Amino acid sequence: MTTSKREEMIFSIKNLKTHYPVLGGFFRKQIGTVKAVDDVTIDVRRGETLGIVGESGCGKSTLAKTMMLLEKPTEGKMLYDFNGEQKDVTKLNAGDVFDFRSRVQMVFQDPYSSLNPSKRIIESFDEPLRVHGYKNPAERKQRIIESLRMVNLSEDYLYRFPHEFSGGQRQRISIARALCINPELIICDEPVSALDVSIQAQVLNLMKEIQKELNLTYVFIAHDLSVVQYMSDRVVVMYLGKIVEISEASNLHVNPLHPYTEALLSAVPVPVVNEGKSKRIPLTGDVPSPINRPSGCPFSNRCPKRMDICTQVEPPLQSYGEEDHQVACHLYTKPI
Amino acid sequence: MTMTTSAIEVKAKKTSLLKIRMKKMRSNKLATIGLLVCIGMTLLSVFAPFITSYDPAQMNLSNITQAPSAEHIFGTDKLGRDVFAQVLYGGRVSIYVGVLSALGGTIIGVLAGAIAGYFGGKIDSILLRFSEIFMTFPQLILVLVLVSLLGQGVNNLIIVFVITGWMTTFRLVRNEFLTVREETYVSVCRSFGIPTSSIIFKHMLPNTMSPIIVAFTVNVAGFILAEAGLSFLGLGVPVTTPTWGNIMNAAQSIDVVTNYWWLWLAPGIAISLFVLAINFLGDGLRDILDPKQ
Repeated sequence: MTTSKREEMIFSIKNLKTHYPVLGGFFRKQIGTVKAVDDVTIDVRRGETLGIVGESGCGKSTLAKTMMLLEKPTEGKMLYDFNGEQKDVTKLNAGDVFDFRSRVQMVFQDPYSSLNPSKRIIESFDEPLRVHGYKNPAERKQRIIESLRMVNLSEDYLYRFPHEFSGGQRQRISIARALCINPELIICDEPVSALDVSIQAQVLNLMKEIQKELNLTYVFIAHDLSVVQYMSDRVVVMYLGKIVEISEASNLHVNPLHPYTEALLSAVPVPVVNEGKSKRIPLTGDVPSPINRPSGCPFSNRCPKRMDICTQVEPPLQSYGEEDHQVACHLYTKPI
Repeated sequence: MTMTTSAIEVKAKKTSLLKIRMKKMRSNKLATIGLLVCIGMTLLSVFAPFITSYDPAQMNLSNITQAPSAEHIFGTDKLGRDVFAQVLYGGRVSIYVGVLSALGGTIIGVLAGAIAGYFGGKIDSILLRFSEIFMTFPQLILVLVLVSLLGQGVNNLIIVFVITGWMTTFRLVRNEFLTVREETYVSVCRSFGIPTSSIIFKHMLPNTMSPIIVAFTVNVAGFILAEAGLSFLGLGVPVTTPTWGNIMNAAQSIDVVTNYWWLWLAPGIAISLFVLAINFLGDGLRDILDPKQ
């Protein structure tokens, strides 16, 4: 990665926390807190694909929704680069939020419910475009046709209903819809996890092509490490609302640092059995409840390399080896 | 040029959707019969003066309690009024009360339900408690209190029905909105920055339309029955205005029930037929309007 690219941050998330209260009892008092996203700091660089990976319930989707301003963060800053001017999007006025929404769009996980079943495709596109300043109906239609062409769909589909399409087609339509207002950054929340494997590859390649063509930045979320590695320049590994490792995608499978990353990598199926590393690292137990997280390192109760310090002190996220490789684990904590 | 062609295209596609629905309607026999009966009875009431030459208020004391004959096909009542004319003219008020009350209740129920279901939280709790207060209060007593406060009259009765009848639609719409709110397309709309009112009424409401329409038809039937019941008790529309319920008011004495069957059978059949027809229609519409089919 070149230095010039590194300097150009598009979206930096600083110490972001999204907590939900747990209400209980007759008077619905707060009896706990779900720390869905807890103290997450990420820099998204212009033009890159930042992968976020982790198992279900680790806070990936909440992070995505918070970044898209669909959930209110409890704490923290989210600085977005509005043509060179950094603004904290958690404190924007309504007009600037609208500007933000024209720059950042999201592709959601479920292609079946992301299109309104009672609206034709053209109607699903038309209102976003109108709201975002495309006043002329003919221009809007032209724009819709262009976006559909970008995802290899013909304009014959304009007047069809969503139920007439397959899952892969619907996801392509959703991508086209996110593209139609010309965003800079697209947050993809598990865009292919609901699709067949053969269709997954097709959609992923399409997304890569579009990225190159339009010079987009992606934040790509998935629970499948191989998909994330294929798509991303850098990978963030999350566990229980926290970042445990950030690495170059090309470096991650060669040199995983965190025991959790190692375990995840060992679970990726290999095409040829008995070739190279084939030893799995089985993890025992379940992900602890985010309401009642273990003290110290969140991974401590399942970690095969647990030490005494792990249950007492929470490891900070630090660089290890190269500057771009960060890990939160006591195995790599520099002695003070 | 492009604009006009696209407008024509949309129009063509729209009519094709209408055609599909018409076809579905025709293939659903019960719904078609229901629709025809509803329209037929409404038209008969509206064009009553052209169908019968009798005035429903015209008394003829030399001709009281006549059994049905060629001259008076539904007979005459205790004041010598023609029952057929009364049923025709009575339908006007009964259908008017039923449809308008249901419409009012549906509008209030949909507005409150959409707001409660979409926003949730405090607004939802307040509206829910509010509707529960109405629901737990004995309906008949509430109606009696309101009628005595507002006075008897067709429009006052409609107001009373709207005040006491919006809760079922409210609960239904609220529950539908709680479900639809979780659909991804609502998040998509929000992430595009589409205004909330547009999300609620243009994007979510069309997907909750079919249960609302069914509830509406059930309410029309219910209000027609309620009007008949209240008028029978002498609490609904003033007796001078003929309604289906008012005509049956005559059958309060056991003497009438046993000896003058045509006095209550004719309006009774009219009520049952209309209510049945509108229920069939509502049932059919639910299937026809479902976008997923």
